[in-house]
Amino acid sequence: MRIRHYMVLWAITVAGSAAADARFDTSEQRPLNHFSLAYAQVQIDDLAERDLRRMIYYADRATTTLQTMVEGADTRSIYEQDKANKRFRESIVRLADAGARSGLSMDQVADYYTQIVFDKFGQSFMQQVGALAGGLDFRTLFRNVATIPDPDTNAQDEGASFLEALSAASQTLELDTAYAENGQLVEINPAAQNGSDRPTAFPNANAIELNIIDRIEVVDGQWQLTVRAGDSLSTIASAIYGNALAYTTIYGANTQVINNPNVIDVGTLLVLPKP
Amino acid sequence: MPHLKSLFSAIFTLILLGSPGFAQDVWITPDTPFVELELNDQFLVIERNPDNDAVIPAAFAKTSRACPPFCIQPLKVADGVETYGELELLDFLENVAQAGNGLLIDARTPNFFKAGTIPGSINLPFTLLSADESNPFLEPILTQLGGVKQADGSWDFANATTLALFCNGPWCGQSPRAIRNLLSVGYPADKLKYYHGGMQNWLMLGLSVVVPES
Repeated sequence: MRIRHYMVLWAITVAGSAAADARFDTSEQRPLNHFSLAYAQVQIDDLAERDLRRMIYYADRATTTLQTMVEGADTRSIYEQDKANKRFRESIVRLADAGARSGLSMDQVADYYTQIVFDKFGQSFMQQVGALAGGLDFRTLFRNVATIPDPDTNAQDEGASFLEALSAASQTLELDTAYAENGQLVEINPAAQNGSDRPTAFPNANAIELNIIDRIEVVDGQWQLTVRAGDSLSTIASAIYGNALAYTTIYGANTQVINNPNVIDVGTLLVLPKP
Repeated sequence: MPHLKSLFSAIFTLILLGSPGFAQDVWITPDTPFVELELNDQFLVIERNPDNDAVIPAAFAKTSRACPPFCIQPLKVADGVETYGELELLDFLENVAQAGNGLLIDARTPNFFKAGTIPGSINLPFTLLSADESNPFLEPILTQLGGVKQADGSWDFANATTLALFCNGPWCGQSPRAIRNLLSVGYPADKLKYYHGGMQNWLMLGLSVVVPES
């Protein structure tokens, strides 16, 4: 535990200096050139024109999202940063997919992208990313980001689960305003506007989520929860944000006390960012 | 030092910890996350803004431009002219335009077009389609679209390309007017499609917009 704690602090320090040092030249966008492909040991002639255009499109996007993710990190809320991270990850997934469709291996796409990032942001940036990743090589790094555990689970099914999701979403749809007869917006839920101190359960909350809501303590205006057996970050996120995937928000605010978001220790005191 | 923490979470959690369910979660339909197109030697992607908090851009947030001239348009612009929603328009781009059998026409004046348009569209301002005989542009445009002018001055549109037209929104009369002008010179109604929603509905759904290169 102590070693992990040290590593976390160290990584935060490195990340901080990365933010301070990284210089991004937005005025000069270097063209994605032959050299980049040569680095990936692919002859430019090997790719059909259409494949090449697609690769360039997605590589360009993956570079932009990387820049966005890192550049604004010091001014964003955790919630917004989470979105930027997600955009970056999606763009890498799409780039890897474009590579696969062009007959490139994952390593070739990784090399290609690494070269583009190197061309654009320079060596010190690459070193900082490398350090942040705990010394993982870029091919492994790319593979980790690009790999979605089970693509099938992401497919949206217009069956019962879709209707359930739709029904849940409409129940949690809270309007703070309504139209008065003159077409002006009026507040209908002043409590929501003022931000009531205690968390409120979503209308479709289950027993576990209601229990979590009940146990949240307000200390100096901050929401805190002591972990009990059976708790998970995703159920807590589901209880307070109505979205299990928002567990990353809680994790982001508690990196000092959580080693692995999949395993939280009983007795840990979590700080829960308000929605 | 919250920002350090957030940057840390940005890179560290993202890269080292595989998190489930990170695919794009604002799809076009349950079967279509996004649409890729190869049009005019360009690679294009049409998708929806993945940001769940996104709102319609301010330029298209106005509800009440003066009517006339900005009046609500009927869903059916003319007999035989099919009206498209977004999915029909995407289908047109994928299966008709991409195969070289149709064009997506942005019928707005160039200043609007330059500010942003639907990917893959071509700007053909409604003003240039005026059926007025004094309009010097009509003949070359119709010829470009595949029309053949006959000796008697009428047009043969047997090989004319199919057009899908749109403008700024359901309150925009530019594309309906362009369609009526084309019909008046004999352009076949079944080769004309009307995207009623226009830019405003397109943006309301968070769909991709491109700024044309000058």
